[in-house]
Amino acid sequence: MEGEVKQVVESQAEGATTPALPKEAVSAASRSDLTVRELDGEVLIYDASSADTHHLNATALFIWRQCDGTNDADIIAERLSAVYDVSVEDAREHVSHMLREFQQRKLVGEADVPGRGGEGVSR
Amino acid sequence: MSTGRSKELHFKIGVVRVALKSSHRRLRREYSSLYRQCLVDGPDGSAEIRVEVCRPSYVPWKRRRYHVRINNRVQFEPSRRDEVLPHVDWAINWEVPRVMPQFLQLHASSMEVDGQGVIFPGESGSGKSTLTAGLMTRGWRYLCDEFALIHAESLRLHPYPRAICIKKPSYPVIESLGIKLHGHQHYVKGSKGYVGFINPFEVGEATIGRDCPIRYVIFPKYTAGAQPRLTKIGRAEAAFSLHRVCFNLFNCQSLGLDVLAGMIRGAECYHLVSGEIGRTCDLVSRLVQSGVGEVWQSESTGKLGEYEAARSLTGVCHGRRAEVCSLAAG
Repeated sequence: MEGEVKQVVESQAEGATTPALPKEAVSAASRSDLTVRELDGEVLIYDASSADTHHLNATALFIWRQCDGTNDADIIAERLSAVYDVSVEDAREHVSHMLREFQQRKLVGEADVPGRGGEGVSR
Repeated sequence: MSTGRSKELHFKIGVVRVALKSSHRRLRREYSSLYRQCLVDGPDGSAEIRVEVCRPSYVPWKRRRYHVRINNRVQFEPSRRDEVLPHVDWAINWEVPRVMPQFLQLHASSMEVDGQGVIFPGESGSGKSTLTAGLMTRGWRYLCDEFALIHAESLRLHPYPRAICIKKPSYPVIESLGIKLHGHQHYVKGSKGYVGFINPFEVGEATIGRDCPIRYVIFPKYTAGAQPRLTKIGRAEAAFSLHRVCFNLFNCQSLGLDVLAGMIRGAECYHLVSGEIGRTCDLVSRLVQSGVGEVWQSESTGKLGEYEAARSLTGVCHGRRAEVCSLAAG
C-alpha cells in the first residue's frame, strides 16, 4: 500500500525565475483546527478535514509560524535570513515556494486583514 | 480437504484472541499445529476475532470456493485448498485494527531485546520478516512480524506472536539461519505466491517477548548485495513515515498523532539498508546492544540549527486506505 507522498518543495531548478512574493500579510490563524505536534524542532500536522498529515522541517516550520496575519512574504524572508545562515535572496525564494505550498495544502487560509479581505495569508 | 462436524478452536496469540470454526479437519489440524502453543480451552469473554471457514454446496455454473468468514462476513474466497490457511491468517490481520482500538497499529515487525522494543516498519518486500527471523536466532525475542501494537495509553509495544510468513524466494536465507518451515508445508498466498510459515515458538528458547517501551525505530530496505548501513534520521521524519504505515491512524485521528509523537520521543530512529542477512543482523545488534547513539532530547531545545531549505511532505495514512480496502473486500 503505497502512500501518496509528495516532496513538495526542495529547491528551485537552477536558472528558474524566482516567482514574485505575495505582497499580502500571511496568517495561519484560521486553521486552528489543525493538530500540531513538535518533535525536535520539526513538526507534524494532522488535518482532520482532509485526513492528511504534513511534516514541516525546521525552516518550513519557522515560515509557517510567521504566518500570523501581520507579516508579508518580504518580512518573513528577512526574518528567515536574520536567524539562519541564508541570504535574503535564497530566503525569498524558499519563502515564496513554501507559502504557495501552504496555500495549496490549506495550511494557511485567506486572512481577515482589514482593507483587503485576503490581504494576508493566515494559518 | 476432508470435512466432518464443525468444531471451534480457541487461541490466545499474545494480546489477540481468535476463535476458528471449521468443518475441515485438515485446516483445523494444520492451524492448531502452527499455533499449538497458543491453544486455550475456550473464550474468556474478551474481544475475539471469530473466523469461520466453510465451502458452500456445489452449484454447476459456479466455481466452488472456500469462504473465509471473519466476524460473520466473507473476507476471502480462496479456491484452492493450499490457499485457505494463509487466507485465514490474512483475514485475522485485516480484523485486528477493527477489534483492537486500544492499540495504535503499525505495519512493522516488532521485537524485544533486553527489555527494549525495536520496530522495523515497512511495506511488504522490505525484508521485515527475514530480518526478524535472523535476529531471533541471535537471542532477540519475537513480538510480531507484521504489526507493531502500541498501547495508546502506556505507549508500550505488545506481543502478537503470529506465525512468520516467509515467501518462497526467502526460503534459502531462512534455511541458512538454521530455521525450518513449520511442517515443511507450502501454501499459496495471493500475489505473494508460495509461502511457508515459521512457528516462532520453535525458534530457539524463550523467543517470545513481553510488552516493553519502544527504543528504536528502524526502517529496513532490502537491497541485494548491498553493504548494510544505518543512517540516523529525525524523529519528525520518522513519525511522518510511520503515519503512512499506520493501519488505524485515520480512525484515531489526533489521538493517533499523539500516540505516535509520544512513542517516538523515547526512540532513536534509523534508515537501514539491509543486505546479506548475517552482516545486517550484526550491524543492528551492535547498534541496539552497545547502546551506540544517545537518545535525543525529547523536546526541542529551541535553538535554530543549520539552515536547510524549507521542505514539507504531505501524505495520506495507511489506515484510510486499509479502511477503504476492508470495506470493499467485505
